[in-house]
Amino acid sequence: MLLEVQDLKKYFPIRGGLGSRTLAMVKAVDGVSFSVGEGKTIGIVGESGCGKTTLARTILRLIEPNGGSILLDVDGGHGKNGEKIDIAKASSKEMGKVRKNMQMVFQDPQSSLDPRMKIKRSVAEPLELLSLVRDRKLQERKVLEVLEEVGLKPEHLERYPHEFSGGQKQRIGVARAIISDPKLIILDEPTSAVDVSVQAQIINLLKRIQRERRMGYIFITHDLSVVYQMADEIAVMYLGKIVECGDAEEVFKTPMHPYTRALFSAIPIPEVKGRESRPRIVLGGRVPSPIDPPPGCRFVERCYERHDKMCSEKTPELVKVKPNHYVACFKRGSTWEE
Amino acid sequence: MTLLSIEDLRMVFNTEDGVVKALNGVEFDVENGETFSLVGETGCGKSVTMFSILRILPSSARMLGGRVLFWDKGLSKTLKKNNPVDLSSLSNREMLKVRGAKIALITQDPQSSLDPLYPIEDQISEVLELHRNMGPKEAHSEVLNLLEQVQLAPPERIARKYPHELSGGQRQRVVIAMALAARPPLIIADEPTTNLDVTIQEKVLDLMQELKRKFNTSLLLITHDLAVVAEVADRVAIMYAGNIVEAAPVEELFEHPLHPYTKGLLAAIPSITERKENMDYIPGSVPNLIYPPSGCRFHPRCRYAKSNCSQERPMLKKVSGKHKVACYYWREADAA
Repeated sequence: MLLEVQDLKKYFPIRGGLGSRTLAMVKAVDGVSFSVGEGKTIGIVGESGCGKTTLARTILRLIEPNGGSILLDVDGGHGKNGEKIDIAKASSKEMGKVRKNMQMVFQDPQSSLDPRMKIKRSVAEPLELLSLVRDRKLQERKVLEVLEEVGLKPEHLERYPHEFSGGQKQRIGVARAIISDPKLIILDEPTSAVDVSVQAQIINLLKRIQRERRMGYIFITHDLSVVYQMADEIAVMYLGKIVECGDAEEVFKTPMHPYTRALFSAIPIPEVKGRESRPRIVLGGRVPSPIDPPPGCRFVERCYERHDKMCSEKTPELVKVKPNHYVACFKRGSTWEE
Repeated sequence: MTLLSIEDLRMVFNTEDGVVKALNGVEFDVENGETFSLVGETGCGKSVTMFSILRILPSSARMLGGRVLFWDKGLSKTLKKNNPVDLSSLSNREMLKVRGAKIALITQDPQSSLDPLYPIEDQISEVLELHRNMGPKEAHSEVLNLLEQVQLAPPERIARKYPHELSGGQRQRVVIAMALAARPPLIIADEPTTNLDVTIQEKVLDLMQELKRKFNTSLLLITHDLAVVAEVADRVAIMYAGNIVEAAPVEELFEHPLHPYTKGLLAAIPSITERKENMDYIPGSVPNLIYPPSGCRFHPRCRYAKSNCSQERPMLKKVSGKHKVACYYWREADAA
């Protein structure tokens, strides 16, 4: 496996009162495990506040995890005894060995490009920062290569971000991510700031360079139809936990967790005919606060399937229901057996 | 019955880089009681159209032509005849009686429509006192009634809250209540659900539809999201680079799109039932409207374009029933 995340935790303390005591914990990511294979895409979906962006930042160690392990299997990314470096605990020297293998593409290309920097410098920056290529000439040649790879032209080198459209800026974001030749890219809502007609171009681009470079993708989004087009596997997050995961086709065709089913039933579809026949599950309440969540299933307050006391006392674990399909719900299987 | 009729609206903006030709002869009608949706991508001019109707444009804007006709007995000077008023010719003072009272606005970001310093009740009753001449007591009970209408319970408690104490979905409901407060014949909603999660989006859309019927208002829905359009609209107009390129009843548009741009747009939406190795897309990107393409503004991206497309703009023409399209070669596109 290219990336294995085990029981990852990120808690944010809420401080206040005398001497800044810790009053409570926001459990943004609470025991998340998954893996990504070479050349594969895992889609992480969930609504705002479910912890998907915190998860991404923790994997890149942009923020410190509170527990768990993150193992990335790449050439040169091993310790003295040949063991994989655990990103969750790595020293800054060890991080230096793996950094270039992990990159991120952000949602808003506008804010991730320095408006006063020419594109050639913005794109070359990872080479500089990671001390990969120092020579300016070589840098420029590399930049040209990746710009061409994402469908931009040599004359774009000397331009500034404001001279580009939203779609082009996102291409620049992708170029900058691949210039260090990473094995893993985290895509945080890469298409949600661009228009539909351009969105499809970006999706096609991401798929093509993945095929060519055999990169693993972690695709974070709230847009279920985009994830369906991109992902091999999918993980549905709710309040810091994965509630359902597995093969994307399988999860989309037979969602089992009550939350997943409600989420999928609410996907807006651009069709007028046959809308009435589409079953819809409307959830009551709203996403509860992740601050010191009560024991038991975190979905219990909004769940329309809850069947006994167990749901509010014990936390359901992810259990295998099919070869590549896991669900964290006590009721799994009892009514949806097919 | 027509409520709002936009005729040949042309609007430009003076900027440092040049003149942005934002609206290039926009035309559409909104009927009484219907949900009419104006759809387009970033920069197509849908928001400028909305700002032009409400006359809330920056000083760099210049109107080159067109009319914004609005039928309302209270506004019409010749009361007996049902003559429309041209909103673009009203004085600023007269426009104060239109905004909020006759045409209300629901924006994308409810946070920015609410004043963080005042509780919800104060903000809704302001509308009631201003546009419906209510006293404090009457306004109080109407605020509670409106909050109940938008399904915010318990209304007494919500009324005392400040905007930051509410969730995004709740705030959008408050804004809907404010829009309804003056009982306007027309509500313009600009991307009302874009900032909401899908599970909340559905509920807000349902609510808007229900209240639209109950209060007998028309809704002009401005969005980029065709799925939202399919859900709520009666009729749709597709905008591209400052023009309406196609207009039709919603089912007709989705089942039988004719303009090459509409076709491309619908094909580019990711499906949730069929996975594709390569998705369909429209080549190129939206033009810079400082230097808009000549003739049909879509022609550089259009696969059916011929030489005359770059010479003269095709006008919006009726092809059948209520279906209009602005394309010389829609028959070719339709046959493909």
